[in-house]
Amino acid sequence: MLRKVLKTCLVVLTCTIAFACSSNNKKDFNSIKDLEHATIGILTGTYFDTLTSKILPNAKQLYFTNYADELSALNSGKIEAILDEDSIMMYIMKEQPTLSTIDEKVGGIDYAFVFDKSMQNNPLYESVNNCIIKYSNDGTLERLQNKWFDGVSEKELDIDYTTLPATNGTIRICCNAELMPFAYVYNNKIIGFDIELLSYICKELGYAIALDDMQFDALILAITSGKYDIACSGFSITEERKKSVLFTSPIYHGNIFFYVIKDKSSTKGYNIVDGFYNTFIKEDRYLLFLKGIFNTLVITILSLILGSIFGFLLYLIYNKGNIVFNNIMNIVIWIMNRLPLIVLLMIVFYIVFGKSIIDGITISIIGFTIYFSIIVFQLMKTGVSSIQNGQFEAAYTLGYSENKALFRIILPQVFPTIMSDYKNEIISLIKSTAIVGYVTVQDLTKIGDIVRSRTFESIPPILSVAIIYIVLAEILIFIVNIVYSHINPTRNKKLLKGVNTHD
Amino acid sequence: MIKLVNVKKEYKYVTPLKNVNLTINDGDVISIIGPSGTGKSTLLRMINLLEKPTNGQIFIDDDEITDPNCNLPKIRQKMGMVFQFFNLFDHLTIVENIMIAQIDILNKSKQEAYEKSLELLKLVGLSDRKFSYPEDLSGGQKQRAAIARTLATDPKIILFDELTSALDLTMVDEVQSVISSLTGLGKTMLIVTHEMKFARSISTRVLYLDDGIIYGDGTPEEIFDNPKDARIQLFVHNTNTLSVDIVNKNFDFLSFSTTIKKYCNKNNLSIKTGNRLYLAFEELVQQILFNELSNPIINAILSYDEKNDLLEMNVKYNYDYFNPQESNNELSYKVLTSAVDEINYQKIDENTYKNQIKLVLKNVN
Repeated sequence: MLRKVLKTCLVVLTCTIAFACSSNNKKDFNSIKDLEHATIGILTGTYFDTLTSKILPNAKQLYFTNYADELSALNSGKIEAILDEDSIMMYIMKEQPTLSTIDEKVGGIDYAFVFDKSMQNNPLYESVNNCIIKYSNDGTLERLQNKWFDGVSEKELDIDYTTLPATNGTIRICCNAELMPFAYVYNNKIIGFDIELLSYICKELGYAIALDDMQFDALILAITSGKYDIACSGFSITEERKKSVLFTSPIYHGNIFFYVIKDKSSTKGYNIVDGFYNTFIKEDRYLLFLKGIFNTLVITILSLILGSIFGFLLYLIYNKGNIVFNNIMNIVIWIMNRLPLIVLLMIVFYIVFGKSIIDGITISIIGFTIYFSIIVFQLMKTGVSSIQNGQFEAAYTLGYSENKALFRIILPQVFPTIMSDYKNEIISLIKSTAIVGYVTVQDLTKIGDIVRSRTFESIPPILSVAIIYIVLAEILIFIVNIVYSHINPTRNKKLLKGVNTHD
Repeated sequence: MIKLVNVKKEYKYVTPLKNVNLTINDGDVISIIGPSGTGKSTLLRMINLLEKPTNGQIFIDDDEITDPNCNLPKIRQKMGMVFQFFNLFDHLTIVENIMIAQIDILNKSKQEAYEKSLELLKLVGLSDRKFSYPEDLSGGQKQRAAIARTLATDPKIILFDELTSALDLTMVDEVQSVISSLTGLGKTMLIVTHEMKFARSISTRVLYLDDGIIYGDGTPEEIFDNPKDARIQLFVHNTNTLSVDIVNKNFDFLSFSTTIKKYCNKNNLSIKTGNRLYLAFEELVQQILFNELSNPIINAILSYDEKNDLLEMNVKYNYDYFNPQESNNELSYKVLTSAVDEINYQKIDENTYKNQIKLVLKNVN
């Protein structure tokens, strides 16, 4: 009897789950009302979240940092709709025909360039603004809008912004080259509507352009810190942003819609070969990846070498026992241990070197050298303190000075004990460099993001980047092992080399 | 010559050395004795400045080692030190341990250093272990290797810091005989030790240090046979006493037997003597007293009379006057009397204890 009841319950339960799942999948969204309890994908840094809460107060929101991730979530059913503006979605819908609009306009949005608030009465801001107004009156703006907002990504710029003459100086522009059609990478070069419009303006005003690509969330900081003059890449004008930055006149007006998957059955199977073709071969994107690998390696290897040397030197000075230096050192370490690496990097980039024109790679090398020196310093400190005091005393009583004892007796015993931790730190160093996209470096991770922003492919770029990181880490460890085996101070019977032991 | 002038060492809560004035002549072989924790090692470690004195000056020949501007490594070269825990360099073979300072400090060639190391290893009897690593050696072998390492730089002065305290009984002799063989080299030697027999046989001079003060300074005969100070008398005669309380029948005899062995080792008594004492103790307490006393409360004090080479045990217990001789367990009493050289029973009148029995054993090697 009991068994029967249980069985029935189980069947009912299974059916309910199955029904819940299938109904979830088959639900069709034809109007905004259907989305009342849906999960909506929002891009971070936009004001679409407030807009969603206003229209659909009961809907859940999930945040994404880029379109590729957002689309994967939509396709896998993690979210049911995306709220976004049509100029960008136009391109995405081309790549993915199953995506469609819910034909109710949710709102409009104006795009502009961004200046720091302090530029309000600055002639640069005024002349740029006047230029935009002029273009909007003489039809230039409309011509450019028609050129770029058509869903085709393969385009050429009218003006080569890299060779503009610096008659009146250079304007430093920062962008996030992952936003078609405003700023994106095509044929390994940053192009887009924003870029072309700025090229026109700068050419007219007699400025050269220094353009840097960075993470979208770092753009505002980049101009408020004074390191850059103008930020671009699809900046929408919102009341909130107006409080902290200065917008130019609008350069484009976009319409906002909800986007959903319409016809699930017609989704064609994912073709991994196409995916890899798009990721690496198309537009010679492998060149981008090579550049990314190069940048990642340069930063990692240089900070590895410099960090090891500085860390070691810091330890030697610390070992001398100057109270002032050691206290400063302790405080620095205390802070460093509590500081997320990305924050350290931003501090170095925007505050320490805020006004200087040192490039992102150098900044990253400086930042990671600091980071790695501290690690090496701490490794040395724990390594040496793990050696029994008796070893020092024995050396001193034999007539060794403190330095000589350290180098000849202690360190040869310390290195083997810290070696495995050191290797782990190298692996963690190369992984940590993935954040340098925030300071305008196009490293491996950033390249992965750039490519994804063009192809909207998630799996091939992510997997490739993962594998490349693993391979790079292994190669580094391999090299370190070779170097270490040459200087291996443990039990090498070095003192006996060249000694005639047969008498 | 080593000279200490008004040397004092003070920590926040303890003062291991109060005010030491001392002159040590070249060639002196000095044993420093005294109760544990009275600053013997501190005194030794101050001579080569492993410990900095709080006050006072220390001169090695004409150099003041306490002068902050002195060439410390240079002065330390004149002195070698052998540590309680050996402190061999673990990453080097034994022969390399002996070579390294010759190469680094005396700038000898590797070959020269190697040849000299072989000689030294021969001296301490470790020629066959030259390519072993320290971890593969026994404690005694490590200590002999450490002595060889110290000799490698030809120091005028050698400081020995409790070098047999961390060793097993069986290894003490091999190390002590190596040190004895060094006395002929004319080096100044300072030896902190708990082995009174060893101290007596090896030294030309003995320092008695207690409570941070040198109370005795003289030849071994003066210190051991005719001590003037009451403390020294007490220390020398009862080098050490060992007291144990038994309050119920669950007493751990096995662990006490180890304690007795350690005690004998410390006082240079033979293992045989220790075993006889333990046998006597076991027969008396476990076989006789535990049988007779329903709630035994027993106190035993072990002491060594060095002058007469006698081991004594004083056992006191409760119960209304009971002489073990009257025990029903005749066999055990027989064993007891045969194990000791003298047995003495008397009634006493203390709060807890009403009986006292004294066992005396002559030390037999």
